[in-house]
Amino acid sequence: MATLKLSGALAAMAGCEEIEVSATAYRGLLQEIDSILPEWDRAKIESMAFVIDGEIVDEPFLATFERDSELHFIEKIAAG
Amino acid sequence: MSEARAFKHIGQRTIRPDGFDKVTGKANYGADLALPGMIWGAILRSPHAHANIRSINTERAEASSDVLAIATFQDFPSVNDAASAAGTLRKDLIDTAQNILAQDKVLYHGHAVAAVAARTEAAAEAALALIDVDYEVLSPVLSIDAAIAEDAPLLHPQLKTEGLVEPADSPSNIAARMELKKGDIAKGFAEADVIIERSYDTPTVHQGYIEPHATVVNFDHNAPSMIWCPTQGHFDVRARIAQLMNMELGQLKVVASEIGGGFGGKTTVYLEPVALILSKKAGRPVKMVMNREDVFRASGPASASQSTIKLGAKMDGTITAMQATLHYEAGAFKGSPMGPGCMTVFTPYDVEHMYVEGFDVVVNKPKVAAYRAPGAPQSEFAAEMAVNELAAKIGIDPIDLRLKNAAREGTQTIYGPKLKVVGLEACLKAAQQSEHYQSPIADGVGRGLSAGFWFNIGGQSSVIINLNPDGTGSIIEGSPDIGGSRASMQMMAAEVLGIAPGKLNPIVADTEHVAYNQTTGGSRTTFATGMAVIEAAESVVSQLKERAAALWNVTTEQVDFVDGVALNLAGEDSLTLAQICAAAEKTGGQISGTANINARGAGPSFAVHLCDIKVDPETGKTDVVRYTAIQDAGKAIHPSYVEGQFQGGAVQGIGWALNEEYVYNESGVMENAGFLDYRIPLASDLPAIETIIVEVPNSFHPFGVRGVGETGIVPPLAAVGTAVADAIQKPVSSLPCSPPKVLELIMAES
Repeated sequence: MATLKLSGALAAMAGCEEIEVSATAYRGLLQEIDSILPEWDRAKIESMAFVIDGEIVDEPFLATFERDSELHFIEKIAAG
Repeated sequence: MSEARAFKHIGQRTIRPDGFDKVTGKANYGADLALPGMIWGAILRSPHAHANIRSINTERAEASSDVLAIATFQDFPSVNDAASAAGTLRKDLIDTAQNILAQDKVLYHGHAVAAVAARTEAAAEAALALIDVDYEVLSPVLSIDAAIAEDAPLLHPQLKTEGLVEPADSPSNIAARMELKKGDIAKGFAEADVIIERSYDTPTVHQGYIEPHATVVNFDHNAPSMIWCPTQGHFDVRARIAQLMNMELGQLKVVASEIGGGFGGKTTVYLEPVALILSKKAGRPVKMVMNREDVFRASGPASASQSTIKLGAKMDGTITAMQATLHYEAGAFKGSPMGPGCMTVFTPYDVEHMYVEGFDVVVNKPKVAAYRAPGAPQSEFAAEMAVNELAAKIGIDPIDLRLKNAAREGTQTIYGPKLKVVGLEACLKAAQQSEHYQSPIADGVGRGLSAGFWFNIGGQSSVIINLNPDGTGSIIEGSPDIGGSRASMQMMAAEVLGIAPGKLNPIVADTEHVAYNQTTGGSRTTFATGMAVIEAAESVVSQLKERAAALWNVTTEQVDFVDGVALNLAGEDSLTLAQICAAAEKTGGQISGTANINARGAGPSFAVHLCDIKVDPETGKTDVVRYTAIQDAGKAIHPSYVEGQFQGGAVQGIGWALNEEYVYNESGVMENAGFLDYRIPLASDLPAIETIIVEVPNSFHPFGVRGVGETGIVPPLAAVGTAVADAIQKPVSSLPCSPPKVLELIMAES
């Protein structure tokens, strides 16, 4: 099972700092979280970058990951 | 890429392809374009920092024979009342429109209220006096403390704080709150032998780009309307204007002129939509150019900040807890870089317990814009100052303290992911071993050091490489060149193709002649557009092998391509790239490679800076006597431009730390809106900035690139602040360390 790590407002909303997920793709992950946390702000999540094992993916729509991956949502980084 | 490899062109110091045009004045910048029939636009700006607009009367201006068009907020079709009623508006779009032309309230001195287009520049300026605006003047809110006070005047009566645990029930000037935590901060402080807590502040500063904002726009009903402007991202200019004007992307063509500095400040739009409105109304091309005063008063500076840092450590130097409370000024509309400030503040440290809380605060100043590593210099200044004080208190060398607690591969960042291979330890060791750090400190001189971090980003880039029949070619990219990227693209393509970089002409194309490219910023271009260049060049190599195979009547597998030469593995034949190109017509036509990528795997970058400063005890004047910038570039494609980025970041950070600040009077009027009084460092102010390039390759990039533009501005603030503190033997908590403030600290001592 991959591990979705939560921090900040996401962790506060979920009431936990990590969730085990069976999905191996970003889209499947969103659907899985929809069922676990129906109150989460999916639009907000979809505006965030996704991190797979330390690799930041700005547009994760088609992203896949391993069953033992560590996953994060982070704010997209602004350009300077 | 995980280990060093040999390169032929990468790492060389080639001549930059745009250099001749720039030093001879041939290059065309934002204000250089003139079109037949062109007229001039000018902006009427608010004389008040905070006021309601009761009315705008343009009748007298309209009656002028010289005036051909007038624009106000009501001319934004996408944000007018009908769109608002339909509920289709995004708040950030409304904010952008209201920043470009105020709707019913002005929120900073210099806020644009209306615009005119007239036959001449002088006539346009004169016509501004014919627009009558009736204001109800309100009290300005000019600092974080004033903005968050309980009885503070509200800039936006509907603004409620986002990010609170419980939704806000009343409006305030705090637009957003962010909280990040790792471990148990109370436990971390309980484990500490030493705890220090300090507060710091940094001023509003400007990017200081030499070229003002400028644009020439030609609205066209029957073809794409042309927008010419100096920008870091012409595709995003197109997108923003299309949103504001309810136009299709295909109705707009944005041409990126040469750009005289951006540093993040040219990632938004100010004049361009106004010029488009005026051009549409007048039926003529319109030119608009900000003067320096406009740039200071009405373009986006970097946030002022207030930070409180609390650190806990054991006497052996193990940091047990790091806590920060960070406030960032957003200016007139929400959206400071508070988020990245929170995310970066403690990233150079591998500490178990951390807690960060950030606030985005609106004030009656211009809406802030990005500035190199947006948000990081402010927060990391505070953290690094405190870490240096902690080192002194424990009695440990500040580099040793950092090495003991340094972020490394596997470190869990407070914003989430674990770091891959990073170069902080290598930078710290390079600093420790440097001749600068080993050298004695002269009398009257203070020494400071600081680490710094920036994420770097990837994103979308598109590139076309076309080869000509003689083996020369062009690299068509869409990333405006703000720091020498044309040369980097040449070199990366040349490395893959095995030809001299000068054989390839890099071209920054407009929005119609190359596919989408994300804005140049975030240190993404050499990384991401470079990856696109490599991919396009590899496509070209594949085609070259196919064409050679066709000429030799062998299979592609029987052809190798080494150093610009195709080798027939089934015989002894060879063909140069130019020879294959010469035969392209009979082997299938044009040889051309394209790549459209969304680059992943940007490599985080760390830097360490050393600074020696002499302080005149009589006047408080500071002189930087020696400065060294050490940074992990991953791989330096063009070392001279990498060093230039290190030096540029260092110099801008030194300016931020020593002299630069927006000075406002009580009415909210900036009193130093010009380079005479807003003091950026000159070449004569500084010693040569020494550089040490550290190369710890980014495993996600074919050549190991990390990106170098941002990180270099992060460490100088604390390196300088600590050096000044060391020189005067007094703690420094407020930037800039300008002579009056330093003298005040010295006098306080006596």
